[in-house]
Amino acid sequence: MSRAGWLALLAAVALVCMLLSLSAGSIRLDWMEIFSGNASRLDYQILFDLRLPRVIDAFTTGALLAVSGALMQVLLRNPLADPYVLGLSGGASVMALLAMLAGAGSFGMTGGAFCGAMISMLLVFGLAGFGRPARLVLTGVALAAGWGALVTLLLSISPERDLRGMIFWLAGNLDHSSSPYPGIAGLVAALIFALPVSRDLNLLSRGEETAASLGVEVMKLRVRIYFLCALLTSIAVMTAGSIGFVGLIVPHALRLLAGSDHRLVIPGSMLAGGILLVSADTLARTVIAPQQLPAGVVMALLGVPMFLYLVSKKP
Amino acid sequence: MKLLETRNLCVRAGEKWACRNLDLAVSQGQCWGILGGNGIGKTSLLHAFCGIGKAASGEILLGEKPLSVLSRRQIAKLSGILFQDAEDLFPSTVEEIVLAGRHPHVDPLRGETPADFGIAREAIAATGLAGMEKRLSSTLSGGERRRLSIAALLAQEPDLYLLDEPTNHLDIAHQVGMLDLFAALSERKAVIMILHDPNLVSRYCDRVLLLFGEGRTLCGPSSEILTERNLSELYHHPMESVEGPCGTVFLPSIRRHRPPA
Repeated sequence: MSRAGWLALLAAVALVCMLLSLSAGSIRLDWMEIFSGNASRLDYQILFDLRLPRVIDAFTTGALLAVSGALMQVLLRNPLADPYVLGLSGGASVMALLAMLAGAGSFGMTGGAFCGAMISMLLVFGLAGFGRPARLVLTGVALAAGWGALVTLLLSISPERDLRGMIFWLAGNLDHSSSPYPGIAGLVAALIFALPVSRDLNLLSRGEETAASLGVEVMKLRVRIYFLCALLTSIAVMTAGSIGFVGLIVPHALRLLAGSDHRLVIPGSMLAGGILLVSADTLARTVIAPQQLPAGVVMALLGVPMFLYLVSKKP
Repeated sequence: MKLLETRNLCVRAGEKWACRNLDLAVSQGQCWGILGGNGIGKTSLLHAFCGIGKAASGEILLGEKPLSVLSRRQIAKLSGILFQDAEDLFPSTVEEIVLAGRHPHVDPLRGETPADFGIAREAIAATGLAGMEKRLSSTLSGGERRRLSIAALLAQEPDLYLLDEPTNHLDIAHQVGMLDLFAALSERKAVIMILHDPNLVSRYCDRVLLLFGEGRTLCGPSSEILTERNLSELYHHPMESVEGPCGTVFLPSIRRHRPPA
């Protein structure tokens, strides 16, 4: 299938998933009435105030994480890299939990998460610079381990009543987002800054020297990817906590299915990541409704077998 | 026209000097060979020529312009390099990799034109890879992968070809085939290649640069520079010349240890 064919297919699936997610819930919406303007005020409120922002959040978070994962894998020249490998989600978690402990509301928590991710990013950058990818990875992994220890420490000294909320936050879910706009802005930033260099990314994945010899300004490209990834991941963590798996698996699944041309992998990851998280979130809030499951958990439970099947099918 | 010129060039290879105060002028129509022992700095020098490696001091001019004022894209149009090894993070197809060689000529927003595809097809055919366009590079043999890298370099169409051991992994027929190809190219363009076989240099290169280590270099026409004495000194091993039907052949002298009869 051609590049345009894959993107059209993914876009169509994304649209269907979003419509299904908008329809799903304890109150049934009649689409005919809604489009003709005859639905009740309550129906419109449910659609535009509750479900639509949540679907947008799920889509943008999945898209941002998947595209950051694709970028990170090239930047660090490591197929195991994901958006969190440099410790961004760890920093975000620590700050969000601290905000929760201090009694800050959801606004304080999202703010804390964003600040934590940024602090972590600056720490890694300050310590490792843009030298060898291996140094960047090791610095990030060490910092992530440190953040992980701090998270456990915070959990162990927190009062009983906060624990459940904290664990839910850590597992990643879309309950506490305050606004869909950062996610949308992130998507636009990803398209503006990543798409034009997707050809350069193909070359970078063939080696830094190869890329440089073919006319890529490697240092500029790496700085651009690093800060873009940090921004996108911070927005995603701020919106939905740390949802693992999407960033690692979606780009690889796409490469397995459609090839490793980043002119497809970049926009394709955004669509596929969005699809995956929207589907996971729809299931998370409907399977045992009215109780909700963490979307991150549902996604991993769905995605792991799917991905293992894909890997085993490929020669 | 001078495609590459160095003035007082000093290049380091790790702790050692690859060359000191090297003045070199490579013109259109020339084919240069670089010879030297392992770890002497041949690769570092080649990388410095196209700005991928750093020169310690001195000046490098590509297409009569200083390297420092050229963008990476401009450099990539003037010079192309064949690396010793290629390492792919994710497997790509033969066609994708050869098309990537067109990068400096491709408008980033518009993508490849039919002309780019045509040039890539020719490069694939010239390296004997026709029919393998859709194969993943990870499924190719070592020699096929080497020819794939050469095809990508051909598609790049630079003026100056820098080749780091182009015969690596190739069988004898393909060694000769690829060197013939570059010799033909050097009539319109220029080629500088690192080789480990002085006989290939004497047959394919009209000029030669010897790197002795400690920064000492010697360059000039192959017929004058390639002598028993120079080569013995170069490799720290006695070399013998033998007159054959195709001209002088250099052989390392070997002390045979035969068990007594």
